[in-house]
Amino acid sequence: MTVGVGGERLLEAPQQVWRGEAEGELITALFAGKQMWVAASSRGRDEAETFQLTYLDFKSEPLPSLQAAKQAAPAFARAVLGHLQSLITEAAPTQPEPKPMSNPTNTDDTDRTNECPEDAVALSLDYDPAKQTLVYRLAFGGTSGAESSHSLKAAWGALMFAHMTDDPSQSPALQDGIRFEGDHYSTPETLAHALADALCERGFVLSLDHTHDPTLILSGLLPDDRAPRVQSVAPTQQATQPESAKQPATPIDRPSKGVFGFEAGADPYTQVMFGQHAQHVPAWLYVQSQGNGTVLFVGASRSTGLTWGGTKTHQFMLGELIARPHFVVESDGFAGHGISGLARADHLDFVEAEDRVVLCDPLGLVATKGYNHNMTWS
Amino acid sequence: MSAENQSEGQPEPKHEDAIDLVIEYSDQRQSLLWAVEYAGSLSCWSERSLQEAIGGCALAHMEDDSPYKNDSITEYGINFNGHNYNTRDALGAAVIIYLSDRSYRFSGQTLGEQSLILCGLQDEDQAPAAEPRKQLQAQPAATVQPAFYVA
Repeated sequence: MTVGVGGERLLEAPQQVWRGEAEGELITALFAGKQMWVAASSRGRDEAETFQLTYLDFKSEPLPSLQAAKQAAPAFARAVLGHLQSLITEAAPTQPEPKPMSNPTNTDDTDRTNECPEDAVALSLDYDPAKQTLVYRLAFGGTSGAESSHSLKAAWGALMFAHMTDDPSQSPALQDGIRFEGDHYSTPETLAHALADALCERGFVLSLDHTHDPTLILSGLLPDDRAPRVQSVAPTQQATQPESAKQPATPIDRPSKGVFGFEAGADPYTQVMFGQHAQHVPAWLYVQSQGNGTVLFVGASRSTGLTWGGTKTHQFMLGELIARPHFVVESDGFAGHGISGLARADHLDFVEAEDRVVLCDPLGLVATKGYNHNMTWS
Repeated sequence: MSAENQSEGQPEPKHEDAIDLVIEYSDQRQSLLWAVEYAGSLSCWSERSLQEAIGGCALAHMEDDSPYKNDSITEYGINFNGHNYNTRDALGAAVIIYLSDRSYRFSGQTLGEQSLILCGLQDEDQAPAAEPRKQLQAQPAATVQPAFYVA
Protein backbone atom coordinates (compact mmCIF):
# COMPACT_ATOMS: atom_id res chain seq x y z
CA MET A 1 0.00 0.00 0.00
CA THR A 2 1.32 3.41 -0.88
CA VAL A 3 0.26 6.80 0.34
CA GLY A 4 -0.14 9.90 -1.77
CA VAL A 5 1.81 13.08 -1.23
CA GLY A 6 -0.97 14.82 0.69
CA GLY A 7 -1.60 11.83 2.91
CA GLU A 8 2.10 11.35 3.48
CA ARG A 9 2.45 14.87 4.82
CA LEU A 10 -0.43 14.39 7.21
CA LEU A 11 0.95 11.08 8.45
CA GLU A 12 4.41 12.53 8.94
CA ALA A 13 3.08 15.49 10.94
CA PRO A 14 3.07 15.14 14.75
CA GLN A 15 0.22 12.84 15.78
CA GLN A 16 -2.06 13.25 18.82
CA VAL A 17 -0.58 16.63 19.62
CA TRP A 18 -3.28 19.12 20.46
CA ARG A 19 -3.15 22.57 18.91
CA GLY A 20 -5.30 25.68 19.19
CA GLU A 21 -5.35 26.15 22.94
CA ALA A 22 -5.70 29.93 22.68
CA GLU A 23 -9.03 31.63 23.26
CA GLY A 24 -11.35 31.26 20.31
CA GLU A 25 -9.24 28.74 18.43
CA LEU A 26 -10.48 25.34 17.41
CA ILE A 27 -8.68 22.63 19.34
CA THR A 28 -7.45 19.96 16.97
CA ALA A 29 -5.07 17.02 16.74
CA LEU A 30 -4.18 14.45 14.12
CA PHE A 31 -5.03 10.82 14.77
CA ALA A 32 -3.72 8.40 12.13
CA GLY A 33 -3.29 11.36 9.82
CA LYS A 34 -6.92 12.46 10.16
CA GLN A 35 -8.02 15.52 12.03
CA MET A 36 -10.02 15.35 15.26
CA TRP A 37 -11.35 18.44 16.95
CA VAL A 38 -13.04 19.39 20.22
CA ALA A 39 -16.06 21.67 20.29
CA ALA A 40 -17.37 23.24 23.49
CA SER A 41 -21.08 23.77 24.00
CA SER A 42 -23.63 24.48 26.73
CA ARG A 43 -27.33 23.81 26.36
CA GLY A 44 -28.59 26.39 28.79
CA ARG A 45 -27.61 29.04 31.23
CA ASP A 46 -27.64 26.66 34.17
CA GLU A 47 -25.92 23.78 32.47
CA ALA A 48 -22.21 23.30 32.59
CA GLU A 49 -20.18 23.56 29.41
CA THR A 50 -19.54 20.22 27.73
CA PHE A 51 -16.96 19.12 25.19
CA GLN A 52 -17.59 16.95 22.18
CA LEU A 53 -15.05 15.20 19.96
CA THR A 54 -15.52 15.05 16.18
CA TYR A 55 -13.55 12.60 14.05
CA LEU A 56 -14.29 11.48 10.49
CA ASP A 57 -17.81 12.90 10.73
CA PHE A 58 -18.53 10.99 13.96
CA LYS A 59 -19.26 12.83 17.21
CA SER A 60 -18.63 11.59 20.74
CA GLU A 61 -20.91 11.84 23.73
CA PRO A 62 -20.61 15.20 25.53
CA LEU A 63 -17.71 15.11 27.94
CA PRO A 64 -17.47 17.16 31.12
CA SER A 65 -14.16 18.86 30.50
CA LEU A 66 -11.58 19.55 27.86
CA GLN A 67 -9.14 17.34 29.70
CA ALA A 68 -11.64 14.50 29.73
CA ALA A 69 -12.19 14.95 26.00
CA LYS A 70 -8.46 14.74 25.35
CA GLN A 71 -8.21 11.63 27.49
CA ALA A 72 -11.07 10.00 25.62
CA ALA A 73 -9.76 10.95 22.19
CA PRO A 74 -7.54 7.90 21.42
CA ALA A 75 -10.27 5.44 22.37
CA PHE A 76 -12.80 7.45 20.39
CA ALA A 77 -10.56 7.41 17.29
CA ARG A 78 -10.14 3.64 17.59
CA ALA A 79 -13.89 3.21 18.03
CA VAL A 80 -14.63 5.26 14.91
CA LEU A 81 -12.07 3.45 12.79
CA GLY A 82 -13.26 0.09 14.10
CA HIS A 83 -16.85 0.97 13.29
CA LEU A 84 -15.90 2.06 9.79
CA GLN A 85 -14.02 -1.18 9.31
CA SER A 86 -17.07 -3.17 10.38
CA LEU A 87 -19.13 -1.44 7.71
CA ILE A 88 -17.01 -2.91 4.95
CA THR A 89 -18.22 -6.25 3.68
CA GLU A 90 -16.40 -8.77 1.57
CA ALA A 91 -16.94 -8.57 -2.17
CA ALA A 92 -19.62 -10.95 -3.36
CA PRO A 93 -18.03 -13.87 -5.22
CA THR A 94 -20.38 -13.44 -8.15
CA GLN A 95 -19.39 -9.84 -8.70
CA PRO A 96 -17.07 -9.31 -11.62
CA GLU A 97 -13.59 -8.23 -10.77
CA PRO A 98 -13.37 -4.51 -11.41
CA LYS A 99 -9.76 -4.79 -12.47
CA PRO A 100 -8.65 -8.07 -13.99
CA MET A 101 -5.14 -7.76 -12.68
CA SER A 102 -2.52 -10.44 -12.59
CA ASN A 103 -2.73 -10.49 -8.79
CA PRO A 104 -6.37 -11.10 -7.87
CA THR A 105 -5.81 -10.70 -4.14
CA ASN A 106 -4.29 -7.29 -4.51
CA THR A 107 -6.31 -4.48 -2.97
CA ASP A 108 -3.63 -1.90 -3.32
CA ASP A 109 -2.85 0.49 -6.13
CA THR A 110 0.07 -1.67 -7.14
CA ASP A 111 0.83 -5.30 -7.60
CA ARG A 112 3.61 -6.47 -5.36
CA THR A 113 6.99 -6.49 -6.94
CA ASN A 114 7.42 -10.20 -6.30
CA GLU A 115 4.22 -10.81 -8.29
CA CYS A 116 5.53 -8.86 -11.24
CA PRO A 117 6.18 -10.86 -14.40
CA GLU A 118 9.88 -10.89 -15.11
CA ASP A 119 9.41 -9.66 -18.65
CA ALA A 120 7.30 -6.65 -17.70
CA VAL A 121 8.52 -3.43 -19.26
CA ALA A 122 10.36 -1.12 -16.85
CA LEU A 123 9.67 2.61 -16.89
CA SER A 124 11.96 5.32 -15.58
CA LEU A 125 11.68 9.09 -15.65
CA ASP A 126 14.59 11.41 -16.18
CA TYR A 127 14.32 15.15 -15.86
CA ASP A 128 16.89 17.48 -17.34
CA PRO A 129 16.46 20.82 -15.54
CA ALA A 130 18.75 22.59 -18.01
CA LYS A 131 16.63 21.63 -21.01
CA GLN A 132 13.43 21.51 -18.95
CA THR A 133 12.77 18.16 -20.54
CA LEU A 134 11.16 15.14 -18.98
CA VAL A 135 12.10 11.87 -20.67
CA TYR A 136 9.96 8.75 -20.39
CA ARG A 137 12.26 5.76 -20.81
CA LEU A 138 11.11 2.16 -21.26
CA ALA A 139 13.37 -0.87 -20.97
CA PHE A 140 12.41 -4.34 -22.13
CA GLY A 141 14.26 -7.59 -21.75
CA GLY A 142 17.54 -5.92 -20.86
CA THR A 143 18.43 -5.45 -24.50
CA SER A 144 15.94 -3.07 -26.03
CA GLY A 145 14.07 0.03 -25.09
CA ALA A 146 12.48 3.23 -26.25
CA GLU A 147 12.14 6.72 -24.96
CA SER A 148 10.17 9.86 -25.60
CA SER A 149 10.37 13.39 -24.32
CA HIS A 150 6.66 13.83 -25.05
CA SER A 151 4.74 11.15 -23.23
CA LEU A 152 4.63 7.62 -21.95
CA LYS A 153 2.21 6.81 -24.75
CA ALA A 154 4.73 7.90 -27.35
CA ALA A 155 7.46 5.88 -25.66
CA TRP A 156 5.23 2.80 -25.61
CA GLY A 157 4.30 3.27 -29.25
CA ALA A 158 7.97 3.57 -30.15
CA LEU A 159 8.72 0.37 -28.24
CA MET A 160 5.98 -1.45 -30.10
CA PHE A 161 7.18 -0.19 -33.46
CA ALA A 162 10.70 -1.28 -32.54
CA HIS A 163 9.37 -4.82 -32.14
CA MET A 164 6.98 -4.63 -35.08
CA THR A 165 8.52 -7.43 -37.08
CA ASP A 166 9.38 -9.65 -34.12
CA ASP A 167 7.83 -12.87 -33.01
CA PRO A 168 4.72 -11.70 -31.07
CA SER A 169 5.59 -13.96 -28.16
CA GLN A 170 8.89 -12.13 -27.76
CA SER A 171 7.53 -8.61 -28.03
CA PRO A 172 6.58 -6.34 -25.12
CA ALA A 173 2.99 -6.59 -23.97
CA LEU A 174 1.18 -4.33 -21.58
CA GLN A 175 -0.81 -7.27 -20.27
CA ASP A 176 2.29 -7.93 -18.18
CA GLY A 177 2.00 -4.46 -16.66
CA ILE A 178 4.74 -1.91 -16.17
CA ARG A 179 7.35 -1.70 -13.46
CA PHE A 180 8.01 1.75 -12.09
CA GLU A 181 10.27 2.57 -9.16
CA GLY A 182 10.15 -0.88 -7.69
CA ASP A 183 6.40 -1.42 -7.95
CA HIS A 184 4.29 -3.16 -10.54
CA TYR A 185 1.29 -1.50 -12.14
CA SER A 186 -1.29 -3.27 -14.22
CA THR A 187 -3.90 -0.57 -14.77
CA PRO A 188 -3.49 2.80 -16.45
CA GLU A 189 -5.17 4.51 -13.52
CA THR A 190 -2.78 3.20 -10.86
CA LEU A 191 0.20 3.83 -13.10
CA ALA A 192 -0.96 7.37 -13.79
CA HIS A 193 -1.43 8.10 -10.09
CA ALA A 194 2.07 6.77 -9.40
CA LEU A 195 3.49 9.00 -12.12
CA ALA A 196 1.62 12.01 -10.78
CA ASP A 197 2.87 11.33 -7.26
CA ALA A 198 6.42 10.80 -8.51
CA LEU A 199 6.36 14.11 -10.37
CA CYS A 200 4.93 15.96 -7.37
CA GLU A 201 7.64 14.46 -5.19
CA ARG A 202 10.21 15.82 -7.61
CA GLY A 203 8.82 19.33 -7.32
CA PHE A 204 6.49 19.47 -10.30
CA VAL A 205 3.27 21.40 -9.78
CA LEU A 206 0.62 19.74 -11.89
CA SER A 207 -2.14 21.62 -13.63
CA LEU A 208 -5.81 21.41 -12.78
CA ASP A 209 -6.32 18.94 -15.61
CA HIS A 210 -3.79 16.52 -14.19
CA THR A 211 -4.90 17.06 -10.62
CA HIS A 212 -8.44 16.11 -11.53
CA ASP A 213 -7.66 13.39 -14.02
CA PRO A 214 -4.20 11.89 -13.45
CA THR A 215 -4.66 9.46 -16.34
CA LEU A 216 -3.97 12.41 -18.60
CA ILE A 217 -0.40 12.27 -17.31
CA LEU A 218 0.08 9.29 -19.63
CA SER A 219 -0.13 11.86 -22.43
CA GLY A 220 2.73 13.85 -20.94
CA LEU A 221 3.01 17.26 -19.38
CA LEU A 222 0.66 20.09 -20.29
CA PRO A 223 1.60 23.74 -20.77
CA ASP A 224 0.08 24.55 -17.39
CA ASP A 225 2.23 21.99 -15.57
CA ARG A 226 5.15 23.61 -13.81
CA ALA A 227 8.56 22.02 -13.74
CA PRO A 228 10.56 22.14 -10.52
CA ARG A 229 12.58 25.24 -9.82
CA VAL A 230 15.28 23.43 -7.91
CA GLN A 231 18.80 23.56 -9.26
CA SER A 232 18.85 19.96 -10.29
CA VAL A 233 16.72 16.92 -9.99
CA ALA A 234 18.51 13.63 -9.92
CA PRO A 235 17.28 10.97 -12.30
CA THR A 236 14.73 8.65 -10.81
CA GLN A 237 15.86 5.29 -9.58
CA GLN A 238 15.87 2.46 -12.02
CA ALA A 239 12.79 0.34 -11.69
CA THR A 240 14.80 -2.64 -10.60
CA GLN A 241 16.15 -0.90 -7.53
CA PRO A 242 14.59 -1.84 -4.22
CA GLU A 243 11.99 0.40 -2.61
CA SER A 244 14.39 1.27 0.18
CA ALA A 245 16.84 2.73 -2.31
CA LYS A 246 14.44 5.46 -3.38
CA GLN A 247 15.57 9.00 -2.95
CA PRO A 248 13.75 10.97 -0.29
CA ALA A 249 10.95 13.07 -1.63
CA THR A 250 11.78 16.63 -2.51
CA PRO A 251 10.47 18.75 0.35
CA ILE A 252 7.43 20.76 -0.53
CA ASP A 253 8.43 24.33 -1.10
CA ARG A 254 6.42 26.41 1.33
CA PRO A 255 7.03 30.13 1.64
CA SER A 256 7.88 31.36 5.10
CA LYS A 257 6.06 34.18 6.79
CA GLY A 258 7.22 37.69 6.11
CA VAL A 259 9.03 36.85 2.90
CA PHE A 260 9.80 40.02 1.03
CA GLY A 261 9.69 39.91 -2.73
CA PHE A 262 8.54 36.94 -4.73
CA GLU A 263 7.26 34.18 -2.54
CA ALA A 264 9.08 30.93 -2.92
CA GLY A 265 7.16 28.41 -4.96
CA ALA A 266 4.78 30.98 -6.38
CA ASP A 267 4.58 32.12 -9.95
CA PRO A 268 6.41 35.43 -10.52
CA TYR A 269 4.14 36.24 -13.44
CA THR A 270 1.11 35.98 -11.19
CA GLN A 271 2.80 38.11 -8.56
CA VAL A 272 3.81 40.78 -11.07
CA MET A 273 0.24 40.89 -12.30
CA PHE A 274 -1.62 40.69 -9.02
CA GLY A 275 0.75 41.37 -6.17
CA GLN A 276 3.38 39.78 -4.02
CA HIS A 277 1.06 37.39 -2.20
CA ALA A 278 -1.07 36.31 -5.16
CA GLN A 279 -1.35 32.58 -5.73
CA HIS A 280 -2.21 30.85 -8.99
CA VAL A 281 -3.36 27.38 -8.08
CA PRO A 282 -5.56 24.64 -9.50
CA ALA A 283 -8.85 24.51 -7.66
CA TRP A 284 -12.47 23.53 -7.77
CA LEU A 285 -15.44 25.43 -6.36
CA TYR A 286 -19.10 24.84 -5.73
CA VAL A 287 -21.06 28.07 -5.82
CA GLN A 288 -24.56 28.76 -4.51
CA SER A 289 -26.42 31.98 -4.96
CA GLN A 290 -27.86 33.49 -1.80
CA GLY A 291 -30.34 35.55 -3.76
CA ASN A 292 -29.35 38.86 -2.27
CA GLY A 293 -26.49 39.69 -4.51
CA THR A 294 -24.06 37.39 -2.77
CA VAL A 295 -22.90 33.84 -3.33
CA LEU A 296 -21.49 31.20 -1.04
CA PHE A 297 -18.76 28.90 -2.22
CA VAL A 298 -16.74 25.99 -0.99
CA GLY A 299 -13.79 24.47 -2.71
CA ALA A 300 -10.38 22.93 -2.46
CA SER A 301 -6.97 22.90 -4.02
CA ARG A 302 -4.02 20.59 -3.80
CA SER A 303 -1.68 23.53 -3.57
CA THR A 304 -0.22 24.38 -0.20
CA GLY A 305 0.46 27.88 -1.50
CA LEU A 306 -2.99 28.82 -0.28
CA THR A 307 -1.83 28.50 3.33
CA TRP A 308 0.52 31.43 2.67
CA GLY A 309 3.14 29.69 4.77
CA GLY A 310 0.91 29.47 7.82
CA THR A 311 1.23 26.55 10.20
CA LYS A 312 -1.97 26.78 12.22
CA THR A 313 -5.09 24.78 11.54
CA HIS A 314 -6.95 27.39 9.54
CA GLN A 315 -6.16 30.49 7.53
CA PHE A 316 -8.70 33.17 6.62
CA MET A 317 -8.20 35.30 3.53
CA LEU A 318 -9.90 38.57 2.78
CA GLY A 319 -9.10 39.78 -0.68
CA GLU A 320 -9.99 39.09 -4.26
CA LEU A 321 -10.60 35.95 -6.23
CA ILE A 322 -9.99 35.71 -9.95
CA ALA A 323 -11.71 32.59 -11.22
CA ARG A 324 -10.46 31.06 -14.47
CA PRO A 325 -12.69 28.08 -15.21
CA HIS A 326 -11.62 25.18 -17.33
CA PHE A 327 -15.28 24.27 -17.38
CA VAL A 328 -18.43 25.19 -15.45
CA VAL A 329 -21.50 22.99 -15.16
CA GLU A 330 -24.66 23.56 -13.17
CA SER A 331 -27.41 21.37 -11.77
CA ASP A 332 -30.47 21.48 -9.51
CA GLY A 333 -30.04 17.83 -8.66
CA PHE A 334 -28.37 18.47 -5.34
CA ALA A 335 -30.69 21.14 -3.98
CA GLY A 336 -31.15 20.62 -0.26
CA HIS A 337 -27.78 19.01 0.30
CA GLY A 338 -26.26 22.29 1.39
CA ILE A 339 -23.17 23.65 -0.20
CA SER A 340 -20.96 22.35 2.58
CA GLY A 341 -22.32 18.88 1.88
CA LEU A 342 -21.27 19.23 -1.72
CA ALA A 343 -17.72 19.77 -0.58
CA ARG A 344 -17.54 16.07 0.24
CA ALA A 345 -19.62 14.94 -2.70
CA ASP A 346 -18.36 12.91 -5.60
CA HIS A 347 -17.79 15.55 -8.25
CA LEU A 348 -18.47 13.02 -10.95
CA ASP A 349 -22.08 12.75 -9.72
CA PHE A 350 -22.45 16.47 -10.16
CA VAL A 351 -20.77 16.61 -13.55
CA GLU A 352 -22.93 13.73 -14.77
CA ALA A 353 -26.21 15.00 -13.26
CA GLU A 354 -29.17 14.38 -15.54
CA ASP A 355 -30.11 18.05 -15.70
CA ARG A 356 -26.51 19.13 -16.12
CA VAL A 357 -25.99 22.24 -18.18
CA VAL A 358 -22.55 23.18 -19.43
CA LEU A 359 -22.17 26.91 -18.88
CA CYS A 360 -18.72 27.11 -20.38
CA ASP A 361 -16.15 24.60 -21.60
CA PRO A 362 -13.31 26.62 -23.11
CA LEU A 363 -10.87 23.71 -23.21
CA GLY A 364 -13.38 21.20 -24.49
CA LEU A 365 -12.86 19.04 -21.39
CA VAL A 366 -16.46 18.00 -20.97
CA ALA A 367 -17.11 17.76 -24.68
CA THR A 368 -14.12 15.84 -25.94
CA LYS A 369 -12.09 14.17 -23.23
CA GLY A 370 -14.44 11.40 -22.28
CA TYR A 371 -15.00 12.73 -18.79
CA ASN A 372 -18.30 10.95 -18.65
CA HIS A 373 -16.46 7.67 -18.79
CA ASN A 374 -13.11 8.07 -17.24
CA MET A 375 -13.00 11.05 -14.90
CA THR A 376 -11.32 10.50 -11.60
CA TRP A 377 -11.11 13.16 -8.97
CA SER A 378 -8.70 13.68 -6.19
CA MET B 1 2.50 -11.77 -43.54
CA SER B 2 5.58 -11.04 -45.46
CA ALA B 3 7.97 -8.34 -44.45
CA GLU B 4 10.12 -9.35 -47.40
CA ASN B 5 7.35 -8.55 -49.85
CA GLN B 6 6.88 -5.13 -48.31
CA SER B 7 10.52 -4.32 -48.49
CA GLU B 8 10.19 -5.03 -52.20
CA GLY B 9 7.33 -2.54 -52.49
CA GLN B 10 4.41 -4.97 -52.52
CA PRO B 11 1.94 -4.01 -49.81
CA GLU B 12 -0.34 -6.68 -48.49
CA PRO B 13 -4.12 -6.34 -48.72
CA LYS B 14 -5.91 -5.02 -45.69
CA HIS B 15 -6.00 -7.48 -42.78
CA GLU B 16 -9.26 -7.65 -40.85
CA ASP B 17 -7.57 -8.26 -37.49
CA ALA B 18 -5.11 -5.42 -37.81
CA ILE B 19 -5.32 -1.95 -36.32
CA ASP B 20 -6.55 0.70 -38.75
CA LEU B 21 -4.74 3.98 -39.11
CA VAL B 22 -6.69 7.02 -40.27
CA ILE B 23 -4.99 10.35 -40.82
CA GLU B 24 -7.23 13.37 -40.67
CA TYR B 25 -6.73 17.06 -40.68
CA SER B 26 -8.46 19.00 -37.93
CA ASP B 27 -9.64 22.34 -39.22
CA GLN B 28 -10.43 23.40 -35.69
CA ARG B 29 -7.00 22.61 -34.29
CA GLN B 30 -5.10 23.24 -37.53
CA SER B 31 -3.18 20.06 -37.10
CA LEU B 32 -2.98 16.44 -38.20
CA LEU B 33 -4.81 13.81 -36.23
CA TRP B 34 -3.33 10.33 -36.13
CA ALA B 35 -6.26 8.08 -35.25
CA VAL B 36 -6.08 4.34 -34.70
CA GLU B 37 -9.09 2.07 -34.62
CA TYR B 38 -9.53 -1.58 -33.89
CA ALA B 39 -12.55 -3.64 -34.93
CA GLY B 40 -14.32 -0.42 -35.73
CA SER B 41 -14.85 0.44 -32.11
CA LEU B 42 -11.67 1.06 -30.21
CA SER B 43 -9.93 4.24 -31.04
CA CYS B 44 -7.33 6.59 -29.79
CA TRP B 45 -5.77 9.54 -31.44
CA SER B 46 -2.90 11.92 -31.13
CA GLU B 47 -2.07 15.23 -32.69
CA ARG B 48 1.60 14.51 -32.28
CA SER B 49 2.40 11.16 -33.80
CA LEU B 50 1.22 7.73 -34.81
CA GLN B 51 3.41 6.09 -32.22
CA GLU B 52 1.71 8.11 -29.50
CA ALA B 53 -1.71 7.09 -30.79
CA ILE B 54 -0.60 3.45 -30.83
CA GLY B 55 0.82 3.71 -27.31
CA GLY B 56 -2.36 5.41 -26.13
CA CYS B 57 -4.49 2.64 -27.57
CA ALA B 58 -2.32 0.04 -25.86
CA LEU B 59 -2.50 1.82 -22.51
CA ALA B 60 -6.25 2.30 -22.82
CA HIS B 61 -6.64 -1.46 -23.06
CA MET B 62 -3.85 -2.34 -20.68
CA GLU B 63 -6.06 -4.28 -18.32
CA ASP B 64 -9.04 -5.49 -20.30
CA ASP B 65 -9.79 -8.75 -22.02
CA SER B 66 -11.01 -7.25 -25.26
CA PRO B 67 -10.04 -8.83 -28.56
CA TYR B 68 -7.42 -6.13 -28.84
CA LYS B 69 -4.05 -7.37 -27.73
CA ASN B 70 -0.96 -5.35 -27.29
CA ASP B 71 0.89 -7.58 -29.68
CA SER B 72 -1.59 -6.84 -32.48
CA ILE B 73 0.95 -4.73 -34.30
CA THR B 74 3.59 -7.41 -34.25
CA GLU B 75 1.13 -10.08 -35.30
CA TYR B 76 -1.08 -8.30 -37.80
CA GLY B 77 0.63 -5.04 -38.69
CA ILE B 78 -1.31 -1.86 -39.40
CA ASN B 79 -3.94 -1.18 -42.06
CA PHE B 80 -3.60 2.13 -43.83
CA ASN B 81 -5.30 3.45 -46.92
CA GLY B 82 -6.59 0.05 -47.97
CA HIS B 83 -3.37 -1.91 -47.44
CA ASN B 84 -1.65 -3.71 -44.63
CA TYR B 85 1.86 -2.81 -43.53
CA ASN B 86 4.06 -4.77 -41.19
CA THR B 87 7.31 -2.86 -41.27
CA ARG B 88 8.03 0.66 -40.14
CA ASP B 89 9.75 1.54 -43.38
CA ALA B 90 6.88 0.36 -45.56
CA LEU B 91 4.28 2.13 -43.43
CA GLY B 92 6.37 5.29 -43.24
CA ALA B 93 6.78 5.36 -47.02
CA ALA B 94 3.04 4.90 -47.51
CA VAL B 95 2.24 7.72 -45.10
CA ILE B 96 4.69 10.05 -46.81
CA ILE B 97 3.19 9.32 -50.22
CA TYR B 98 -0.29 9.85 -48.83
CA LEU B 99 0.58 13.19 -47.28
CA SER B 100 2.64 14.30 -50.26
CA ASP B 101 -0.43 13.77 -52.44
CA ARG B 102 -2.13 16.26 -50.14
CA SER B 103 0.50 18.93 -50.64
CA TYR B 104 2.69 18.19 -47.64
CA ARG B 105 6.38 18.72 -48.30
CA PHE B 106 9.03 16.82 -46.41
CA SER B 107 12.56 17.54 -45.43
CA GLY B 108 15.52 15.60 -46.73
CA GLN B 109 15.94 14.04 -43.31
CA THR B 110 12.40 12.64 -43.31
CA LEU B 111 12.66 11.45 -46.88
CA GLY B 112 15.99 9.84 -46.08
CA GLU B 113 14.55 7.87 -43.18
CA GLN B 114 10.88 7.59 -43.92
CA SER B 115 9.95 5.72 -40.76
CA LEU B 116 10.63 8.98 -38.89
CA ILE B 117 7.20 10.14 -40.02
CA LEU B 118 5.71 7.69 -37.53
CA CYS B 119 7.12 9.99 -34.83
CA GLY B 120 5.14 12.88 -36.33
CA LEU B 121 6.04 15.81 -38.53
CA GLN B 122 9.49 17.23 -38.02
CA ASP B 123 10.24 20.94 -37.76
CA GLU B 124 11.44 21.10 -41.36
CA ASP B 125 8.42 19.29 -42.80
CA GLN B 126 5.90 21.67 -44.33
CA ALA B 127 2.15 21.43 -44.07
CA PRO B 128 0.15 22.75 -47.05
CA ALA B 129 -0.42 26.46 -46.84
CA ALA B 130 -3.56 26.62 -48.93
CA GLU B 131 -6.64 28.09 -47.24
CA PRO B 132 -9.13 26.93 -46.35
CA ARG B 133 -7.73 23.58 -45.44
CA LYS B 134 -9.88 20.58 -46.06
CA GLN B 135 -10.16 17.31 -44.32
CA LEU B 136 -7.81 14.79 -45.80
CA GLN B 137 -10.20 11.93 -45.37
CA ALA B 138 -13.68 11.70 -46.79
CA GLN B 139 -14.64 9.82 -43.63
CA PRO B 140 -16.43 12.21 -41.26
CA ALA B 141 -14.60 13.06 -38.08
CA ALA B 142 -17.52 11.79 -36.02
CA THR B 143 -16.60 8.20 -36.87
CA VAL B 144 -13.47 8.59 -34.79
CA GLN B 145 -14.74 8.01 -31.30
CA PRO B 146 -13.51 10.30 -28.54
CA ALA B 147 -10.53 8.57 -27.07
CA PHE B 148 -10.21 7.57 -23.47
CA TYR B 149 -6.71 8.89 -23.50
CA VAL B 150 -6.19 11.96 -25.56
CA ALA B 151 -2.75 13.16 -26.46
